[in-house]
Amino acid sequence: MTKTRVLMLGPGEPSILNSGLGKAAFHLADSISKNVELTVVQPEKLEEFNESVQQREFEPQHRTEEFTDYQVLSDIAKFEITNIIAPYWYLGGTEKVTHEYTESVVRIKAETYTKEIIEIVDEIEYDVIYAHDWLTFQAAIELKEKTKLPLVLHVHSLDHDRNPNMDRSWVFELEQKAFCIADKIICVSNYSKSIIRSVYGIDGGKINVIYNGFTNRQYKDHQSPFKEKVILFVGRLTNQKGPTEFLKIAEHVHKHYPNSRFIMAGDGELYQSLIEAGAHSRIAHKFHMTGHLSDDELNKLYAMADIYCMPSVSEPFGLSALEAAGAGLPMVISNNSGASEILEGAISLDYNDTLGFANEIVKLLKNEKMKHYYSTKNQKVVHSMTWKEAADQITNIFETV
Amino acid sequence: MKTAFLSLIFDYTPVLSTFSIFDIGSDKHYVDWEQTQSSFNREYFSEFKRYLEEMLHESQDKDTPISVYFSGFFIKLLEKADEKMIHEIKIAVNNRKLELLGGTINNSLSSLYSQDQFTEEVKAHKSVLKKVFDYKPVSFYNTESIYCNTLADLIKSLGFKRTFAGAISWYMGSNKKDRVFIPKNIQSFNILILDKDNSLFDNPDQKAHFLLFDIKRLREHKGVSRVLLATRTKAKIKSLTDSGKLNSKKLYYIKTPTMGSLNGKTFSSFNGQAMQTNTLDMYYNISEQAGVISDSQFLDLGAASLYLNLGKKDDSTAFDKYSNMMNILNDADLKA
Repeated sequence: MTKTRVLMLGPGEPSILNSGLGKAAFHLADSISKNVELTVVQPEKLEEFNESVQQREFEPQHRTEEFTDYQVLSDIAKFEITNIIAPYWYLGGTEKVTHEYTESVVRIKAETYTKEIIEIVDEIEYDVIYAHDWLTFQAAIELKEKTKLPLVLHVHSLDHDRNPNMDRSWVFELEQKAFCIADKIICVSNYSKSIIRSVYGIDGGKINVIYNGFTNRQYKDHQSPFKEKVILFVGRLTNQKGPTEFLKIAEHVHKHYPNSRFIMAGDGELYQSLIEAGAHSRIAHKFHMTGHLSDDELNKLYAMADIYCMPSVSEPFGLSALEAAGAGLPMVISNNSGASEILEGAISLDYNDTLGFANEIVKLLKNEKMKHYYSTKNQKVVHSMTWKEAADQITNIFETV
Repeated sequence: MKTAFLSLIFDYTPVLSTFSIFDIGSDKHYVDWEQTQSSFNREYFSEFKRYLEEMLHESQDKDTPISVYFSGFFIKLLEKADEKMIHEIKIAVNNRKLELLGGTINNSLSSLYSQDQFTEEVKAHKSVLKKVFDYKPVSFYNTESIYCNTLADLIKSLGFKRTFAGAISWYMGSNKKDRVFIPKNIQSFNILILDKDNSLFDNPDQKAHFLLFDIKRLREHKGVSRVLLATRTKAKIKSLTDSGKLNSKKLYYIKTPTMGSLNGKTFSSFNGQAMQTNTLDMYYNISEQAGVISDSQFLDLGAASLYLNLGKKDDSTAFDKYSNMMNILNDADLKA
């Protein structure tokens, strides 16, 4: 039987710049390629957005050859991030110069990327267009209009998630246009589906929820040097992830449970502001900010922690919550997340219920049995989630669209 | 003819190790000695050495009394960079051509935070001077010339006869021409009031001038010899021992600490920002909780210069430095 030929417009290799999106696309491509004939087109390196068009070379990548090399992570992580356009990072740039000017620069870079994709794709034969997140959507729209082939969009994160308190941007409009023209939309949670329906006004009939798979990390046997219990936050330091909420929660937890310490792992546009806020906090001496961490370091951190906290304003999926669950951490997480649908043992609350978060964390800190019960429940869930299962469901959509 | 007293300050800021959260509880050193020594050597041979050579030349060959403060860091690094220089300084000191000033071991702010820690650091500095130069200091230079009444008692009890202090113009009033004062109830201890600048003609009534030069100021004035050349045209240079003859017996009664800083620094230069106050508070809380800490690694963290840039928002590394310092302090806290 002839395999469906799928053209995947990817977000780039997993890196600090595309975080959960990059990891998910990487694993999906790996598993989907076993079911279909997959061609991946993606920026070779994300910093190429910052170079001139003439200097760039985009190559169609078959995942079996180049997409399997996870080592590339360590190289990409070194790049200057402030000058790069990337799926999650365009917001940081808009704050540096005037809104209108920066927005147009980002848009020009995105348009250039679109042109490159269109040129390269001309040489490829395919039956289905499969595009991941906004950066690839303009190219997906143009290819759909040109070829009339089925278009499947995979939504890992929305402009609405990334800009929870901002007006609708041109990225929002691009997403909305792509959703209208798409034949199918895959999203990573019912939470995300509800936003696409209610905020973007898209018919729920063409939206499928397919949860990501889970790859067990090589969690380290790393002892915490602290005598206090460690409460952990992992994520990009952007408003979307609620790091300022975490700081507030930490102050309340420490007030009621002084034998506690807090670690905020991640980097982002709020890094400096949060360090300053942390320094002004009364728990400054027990509040650590690590900056960006390698996978290996993150594994150590999961091993050091006692409780995971994710007060995200909007989290379509929440890969880090699953990783924390895999490490056996009990957790208190935001209702506005895919992870709260999946993880039966996660305690979930409104992201801005600071006292609620603090109280639940304190309860967990005081009750080892409860911690064990919830963490065991979550571990069972995550270990049953596979990328193969997600890939099989996606393949079904390719074949029926 | 005016009288001038010249003192030099040689200190060096160490490079701290990159200390991640995963290094807390490990055996990693707080100071990156390799990098510190390498930076020091570069600067020493291109600049500092000339100042020391000029200092020795002026004090020995031209019989010009100079007093000098070497921080513990500076001595430690100099011992490795130029053993011969250490030897020559020792000869000059032993021949009474050069006076060494006592101080805190690493030019710290401990006098503002902890009397016990301050005492420990002064003793540590005296111990280094004894060991390296076989010298017992009697004049005291406190970091940035910090002074207040209670310090006078303490410094005297540690075996010193005089210390420097910044001039408070409004307080001195009509006594501006006087430069040597006494603290209340301690007749045998002198407070030497520093000049704010080096223009010896500002006040024609002022006959004595206490001048302090650190490396930055020496650089600005093109070295020790040039400073002395300019000073000699207007004043006779004397040793600090002779300063007692200028004792006015007037009180310099300062309850709140003052800073007679070189280069315009104020207290808020060190503790005006949350990142600075946090790290300083944490450092001195550790020493307070644990009692006096004489561990050399812990004392290394006391260097005032380490806290100077922590709050500067125009320094893009200030935030990383703060996180780094907090990790180090957490490690120190665990080990205290």
